[in-house]
Amino acid sequence: MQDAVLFCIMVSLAGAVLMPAFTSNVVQKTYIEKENEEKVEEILHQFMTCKVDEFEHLNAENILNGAGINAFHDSLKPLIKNMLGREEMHRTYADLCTECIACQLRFSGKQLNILTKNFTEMTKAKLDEFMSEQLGSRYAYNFTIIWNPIAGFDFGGELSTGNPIPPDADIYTASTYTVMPSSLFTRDISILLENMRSYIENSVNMNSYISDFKEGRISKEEFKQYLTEFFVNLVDDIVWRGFGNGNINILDMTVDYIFRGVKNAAEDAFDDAINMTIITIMEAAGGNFSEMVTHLMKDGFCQLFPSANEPLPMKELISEVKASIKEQAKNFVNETVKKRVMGMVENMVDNRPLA
Amino acid sequence: MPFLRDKRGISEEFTSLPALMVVMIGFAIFFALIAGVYHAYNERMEAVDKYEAANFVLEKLMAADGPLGEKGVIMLGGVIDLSKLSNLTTNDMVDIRESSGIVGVKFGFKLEVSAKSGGTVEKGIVNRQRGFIAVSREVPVYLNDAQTVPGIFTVMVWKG
Repeated sequence: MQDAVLFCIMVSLAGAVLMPAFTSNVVQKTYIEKENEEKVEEILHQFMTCKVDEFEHLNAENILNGAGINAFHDSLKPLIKNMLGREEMHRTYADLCTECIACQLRFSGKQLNILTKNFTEMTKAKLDEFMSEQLGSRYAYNFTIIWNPIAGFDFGGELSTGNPIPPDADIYTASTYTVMPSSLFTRDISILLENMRSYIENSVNMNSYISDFKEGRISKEEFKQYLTEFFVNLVDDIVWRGFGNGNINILDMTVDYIFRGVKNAAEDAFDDAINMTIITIMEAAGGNFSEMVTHLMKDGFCQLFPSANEPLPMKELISEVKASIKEQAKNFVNETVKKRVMGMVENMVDNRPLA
Repeated sequence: MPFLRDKRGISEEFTSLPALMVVMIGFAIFFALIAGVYHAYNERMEAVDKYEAANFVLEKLMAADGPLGEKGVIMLGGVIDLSKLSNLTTNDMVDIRESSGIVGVKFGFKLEVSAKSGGTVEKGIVNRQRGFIAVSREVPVYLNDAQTVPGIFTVMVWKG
């Protein structure tokens, strides 16, 4: 009898060992995970290729609100829509998002282009609609698109919709690169790149330390020092000192681009003669239009740069803001780039001996 | 009295019978367990095989140079042309099945877009009572130069 009981115990043990094989569905779970990963990729692909049938936004909506004008009032709606409304037809979601972030002119986490805030809001709403349609209520999502033309320097554009990502949730991710629309900025960058190329070529021809090092006339340490100086000068020229007579540098270009961008956007929104009507309406509502725009821009700058002095006239305020940005860029070069240059030179000379 | 002529018998408890019964029950449970595990494993593998078969058909059909690509239904970037898919004839479906090189299974497909964009298009799906295996993909659907909308492309596979 004891043997029989022992046998039964062993059968029970076998059952316990085999139980996971009964209940486990690892293979199915793996396939479900794979399907979910693919679904995210597919939705991103749809985002890149599907077109928004109709999309519209209102330029300078916040200025109108600031002036106490209800843009959606029955009598004003058609007039304001004709003058400040912008309609985008049959554009892909990706095009819409890249255009939106290209005109945000975001710096230090704040959108400088005050005229296109409604564009950002409407694009977010359209994206929410698209994502909810594709995912339903079963999944939460976070969609973020970032444009950062100068790595490490906080300038560009950003659009984010959906929920913040919880730290403990199962997350499926997909990412891709997209093409930015051509702009004044991308055109100026290509001029700068040409300047950089010719500067490097000239410097290499003029300076003999490479051949000196190859032929053993200077030591390795001296060579490293020359190279570091060369790269640090190059970075300084690119970022804030500028090349040649025109003194083209990335900082001036960026700052000019920001202010030119805002000016162009303002002109674009209010250029037509008929748009004078809207200015008249706003002034009739009790405010001077140019004063309102100036005031809004001043508010924005003073929030960004608390050191800026608000009572100053706009032109001087801009100069002050430019100087502040320039100072930040110099610090950025000193603290971040120079250390990296030194590391890069060490790596280059020690690990890749010149042939 | 000789021993063989003695007809008297002694009845006593056969103690090994309950033990034998317990062992038999143990054996029965053990075999049931093994059979159950094997059956469950088999079913899962079959489901996975079916899914893989359907997924293979789907990937083959979605390839730009696959049978649907040759008919112009799959465009550049994996976009499906709704009007070309709708216009596929029975002969086209025979061509597609032959040129796909898929043997042993038959397949049909379905494309769903929102009702205002054209609703649902089905091609090659017959006799829905059979054991279908279906796999779906989210795809962009080309309606015309101005409109490309999201849709769901489903391939259904059954033994033919």
